[in-house]
Amino acid sequence: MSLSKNVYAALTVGLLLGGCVKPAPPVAAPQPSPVALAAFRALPESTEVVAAPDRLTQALVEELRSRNLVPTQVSEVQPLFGGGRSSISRLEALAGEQRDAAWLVMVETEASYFAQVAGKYRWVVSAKISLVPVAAPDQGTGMEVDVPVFLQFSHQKGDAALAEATPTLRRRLGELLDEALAAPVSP
Amino acid sequence: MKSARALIVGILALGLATDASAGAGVGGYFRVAARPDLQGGQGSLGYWNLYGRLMNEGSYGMVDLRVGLVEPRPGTHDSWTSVHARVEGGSIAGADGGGGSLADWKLSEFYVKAGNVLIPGVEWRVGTLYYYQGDLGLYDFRPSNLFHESVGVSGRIDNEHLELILGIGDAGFAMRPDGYNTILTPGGALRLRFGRLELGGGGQAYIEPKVTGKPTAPHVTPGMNYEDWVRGEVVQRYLEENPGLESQFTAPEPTSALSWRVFGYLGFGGVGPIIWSNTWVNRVLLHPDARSVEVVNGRSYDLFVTELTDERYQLNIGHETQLRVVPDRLDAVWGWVYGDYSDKDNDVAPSDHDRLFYSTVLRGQLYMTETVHLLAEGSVAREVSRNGNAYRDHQDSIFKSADGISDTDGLEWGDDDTRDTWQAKGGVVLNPLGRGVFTRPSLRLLYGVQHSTQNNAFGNAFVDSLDAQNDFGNVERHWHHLASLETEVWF
Repeated sequence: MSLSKNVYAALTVGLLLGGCVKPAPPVAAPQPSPVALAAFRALPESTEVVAAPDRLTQALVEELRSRNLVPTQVSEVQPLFGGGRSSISRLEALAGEQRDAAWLVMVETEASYFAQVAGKYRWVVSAKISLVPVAAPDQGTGMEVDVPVFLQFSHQKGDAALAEATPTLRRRLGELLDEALAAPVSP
Repeated sequence: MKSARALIVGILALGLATDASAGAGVGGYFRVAARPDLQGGQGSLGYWNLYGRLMNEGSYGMVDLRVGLVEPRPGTHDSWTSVHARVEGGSIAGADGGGGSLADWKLSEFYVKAGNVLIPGVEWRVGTLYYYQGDLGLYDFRPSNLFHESVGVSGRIDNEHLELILGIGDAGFAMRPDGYNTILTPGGALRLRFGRLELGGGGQAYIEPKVTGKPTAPHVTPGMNYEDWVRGEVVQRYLEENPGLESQFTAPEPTSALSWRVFGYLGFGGVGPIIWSNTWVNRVLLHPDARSVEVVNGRSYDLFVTELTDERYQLNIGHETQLRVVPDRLDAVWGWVYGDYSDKDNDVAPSDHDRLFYSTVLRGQLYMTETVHLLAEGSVAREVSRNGNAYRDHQDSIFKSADGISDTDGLEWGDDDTRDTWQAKGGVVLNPLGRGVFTRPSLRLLYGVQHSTQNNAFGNAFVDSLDAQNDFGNVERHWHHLASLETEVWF
């Protein structure tokens, strides 16, 4: 075998092994804890919100379950919010309806179109992820993240952008949960 | 040049610096590859994208800046506005011969968008107007592009059922960089959406008016013969017929120029394994050239060639279908293109304006895990020259020829009017963001092979002279092998 073939073979094996690296196990809750999950997208043309696409909510549910949490999805959030658009008012409205849960995870998202870039449609998904005790929705932790995503077709809009941002949003929720579960605050 | 570089660097810095502030963002695209070629090529498997863009394109980068000065307010018709700038270029240090020089980069787009001004729901755009309805990803072709060269104004409506854009601009500086003349470009496009079915079409004209007294406006040098022009012998013929009258070479006559492009589009998806399918067809009349220069006896003569270059027609048809063959395991993309180019002024010499070509490309991506994929792509292509031979099939093929017979005064090139090419490429892809043929970033280790009827059909710097004094020699080679370690990212 020539030198160049050896080099290519070594690179191939290295890449394959690199792709098989297992991530660190998530931090799990000591006992199963009920969590209410509300994930939604703000509409650009109105003050209302709509439920996040299934791909995103399912990924978030799996992320919660992987940490020994027991999620319950809040599917109809707009009637609870009314015209309120601030995060705290939304958290309080959700907490008021989710008394059976110990924790509340709220994922507020917004998708905005950026530009066509090298043949793809660049969107930015802005998300605010909050993790609060149901008993004290003004306390807890959270993070904000902007995720650029690239859609292939012009008919793909906000929901497609959220679906495309799913891996990153799931990972960021995992990071938030890891921090919270590693230094737990009593609900 | 220094001021241009400073501007580019400034925009890059502005983009990075403002990204964290409200309403500002920077995106872009980069691809870079290390492609050691043990057969002496310059880093691409074949000549061009007709064989698929993969391994046939070189380095490229693009940085796109958007600053939202006044963001839209949901649920209102309040006006909003944003500023956009784009810098792009084809050189990255160490990856190509350009050395990453900013001279290879340019400020390709700058425009301001505004909405809910004058007419609610209309998005106005002033500045560069480049627009296209999508592309053929396997080929990097955009048959629907409009206003590529235009600076002007457009209005656009885009909703669930309809996208309509109308615009007008001036393409004079882009199309006549060496001698500006106004070229008006009115045009528009419409796309209708019926659920999972889309229909579209559009067009654009290039109108260059007649201007008397302006050398950079369209003119015609009367009495020119196409063959004399292509041979560079117009002035020589004139002087043979008019000895001693160099200073009275034929005066040009002002004229106007008109060209156009139209396209149609059909798209559908969500049927069985078809994720989405796009088909475009366009018909183009290229804008004529302005002039060329002949130097005879140390004296330059301007030849005004509008009349010799105003019948270059193109027909392009392109198709691409994305397929989910086995969900979460195997995706595929299949595409084909057909091009029929004709130059009705030219019956004597082979050229890129007078040819027929078609090809098909199939790519499959097998998902070994969420992030480790195997990629395989194949392509078959044929290119046919309409005006005689254009390709050298062998290391000792003739150069200039006429009717296939060696002729130093001939206008043909080589010994074949057809080039047949096929390529196969495959390798490992790492996609940190998961599955998807077009999910990026991608880190790829690929091997590609090409067979072409043309000798050494890839970018190279070989000496192909048949002269006995050629110390380097030349070689017959129809197979080309290439490895590529590369990455591509949208961000």
